[in-house]
Amino acid sequence: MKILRNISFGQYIPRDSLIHNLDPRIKILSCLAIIVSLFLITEYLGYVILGSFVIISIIFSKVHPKFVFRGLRPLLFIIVFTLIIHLFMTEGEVIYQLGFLKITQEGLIKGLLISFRLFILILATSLLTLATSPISLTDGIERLLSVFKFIGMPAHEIAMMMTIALRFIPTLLEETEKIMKAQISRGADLESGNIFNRAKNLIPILIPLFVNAFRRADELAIAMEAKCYRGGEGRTHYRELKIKKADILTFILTVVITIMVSVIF
Amino acid sequence: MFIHLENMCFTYSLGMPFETEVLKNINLEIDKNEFIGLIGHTGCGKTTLIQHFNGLLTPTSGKIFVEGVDLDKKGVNLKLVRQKIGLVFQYPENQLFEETIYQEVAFGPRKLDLPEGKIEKRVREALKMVDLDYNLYAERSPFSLSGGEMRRVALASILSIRPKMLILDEPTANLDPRGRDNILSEIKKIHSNFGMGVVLVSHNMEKVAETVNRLLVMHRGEILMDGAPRDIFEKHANDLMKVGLGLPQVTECMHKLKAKGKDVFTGVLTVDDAEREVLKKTKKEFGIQNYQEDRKR
Repeated sequence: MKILRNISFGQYIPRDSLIHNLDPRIKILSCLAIIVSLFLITEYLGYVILGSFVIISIIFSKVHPKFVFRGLRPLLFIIVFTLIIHLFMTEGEVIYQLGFLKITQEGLIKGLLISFRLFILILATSLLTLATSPISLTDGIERLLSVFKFIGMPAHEIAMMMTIALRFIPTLLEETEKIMKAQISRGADLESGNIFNRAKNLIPILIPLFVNAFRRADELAIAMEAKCYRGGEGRTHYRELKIKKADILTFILTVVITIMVSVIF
Repeated sequence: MFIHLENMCFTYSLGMPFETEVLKNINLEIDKNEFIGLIGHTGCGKTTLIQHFNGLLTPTSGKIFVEGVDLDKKGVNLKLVRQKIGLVFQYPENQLFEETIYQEVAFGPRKLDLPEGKIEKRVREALKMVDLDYNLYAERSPFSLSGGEMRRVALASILSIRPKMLILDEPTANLDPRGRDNILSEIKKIHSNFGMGVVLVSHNMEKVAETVNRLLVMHRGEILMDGAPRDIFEKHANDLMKVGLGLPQVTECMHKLKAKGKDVFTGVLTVDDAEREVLKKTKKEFGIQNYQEDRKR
């Protein structure tokens, strides 16, 4: 039950900082630029430069590093896993051998590079969600996607679906916890038994969860209808997104750094 | 002593930036056959407190004993504790999941590995306790019922475990007045007919006060008052108002009479009590003898 409370991935931490006040479009595009360049870099120094750029941004965002690194925790397994796979699976000069397992120099380098890549990737995306409220995040996505409207991309609808999905994550987590507790009080056993029994024991939790989620969706749809919601056509925004000087400067800085790093390394 | 709490504290997300102290130094003793009302504002820690009673939450500090067993000790069989203390959550109808009402109510007993014959007996008994006809309801789907009926099925699904004590979190929330009265009178019957201890959690004084024998008033994670409802309403009415809980309407009415200089007893809980009290005082004041008789005629 404790796991449910500790999910910080995708959480928003309200602060008044340089990063928080940036235009969401700039933040999304900068994040994309960093990700793309991450996959172009092939040398350590590039990662060091890009990594320190992300870490400096985290410091500027005034978000406690605790939150950022808590988002890393669930993905640590994947990072370690890829590191190990690379260590043992890459052909090359053997530097250590234990039976049929051998660690190669190339494997070590490649594994570490990939780990750094994932590490910075998660840091950058965590910072994006930590320092951008879900509303402005989806606002930004809507604006960016509306560029593709001419090929029939329903930008507003996609953004609305994302907003609703994000909005209901904490609600559903809370509800899962409540239902778990209720069923445990009725004698349900969630912790023991083999994998099949455990799966079977999830039924008393999943069915009420689904029933309630559908009921909620239904109520929400009716409530939206009652407020005359009818999609994105001609819809105006309460908060208009405006590009400020700081946004332009940040964007130029990010683009220059990422292009430079990708070209050189 | 059935449940015994000693200097119990509880803090949510300890060591996290969102750390909040929910329960502060709670000392409490609950006997086996008591009928208790636990009252307090939304967010005062009522629900958190009762989740400690059956080991769903563990105190940050302090101790909790159920029938003398320390729940925090290693190797304690919490399943056994949860069988002794039946906890009915708020909106329990949201936890229904089986295909038929029979299966729903049989879920608890089945987890106790009882033989099928005994399970059926318990289902019949539990449905009877909540006033649902076994023959009419057993094979229906719980999702085809009305809100009030669903809540009763959920209540029956706890009763079928045969707990020694029943704890209900806002059992009357979101019910119409009739549904509320029905549930309360069923709980009353369960208490008197089966000797089951009951803790009724609510944020609303009305109706709860006249049902229970002992009232616990919580405020900001502490137990502020503990005593018979009449005593509390008579002596601590002002303190109750101060923490924003208010009194049942009749009780408030009597307090207002008293404030106007009428020497009435203010610890009344029902309209009938109030009527009797007012009549008694009126007779005394004006020397009227036969008012009640006149009215009956």
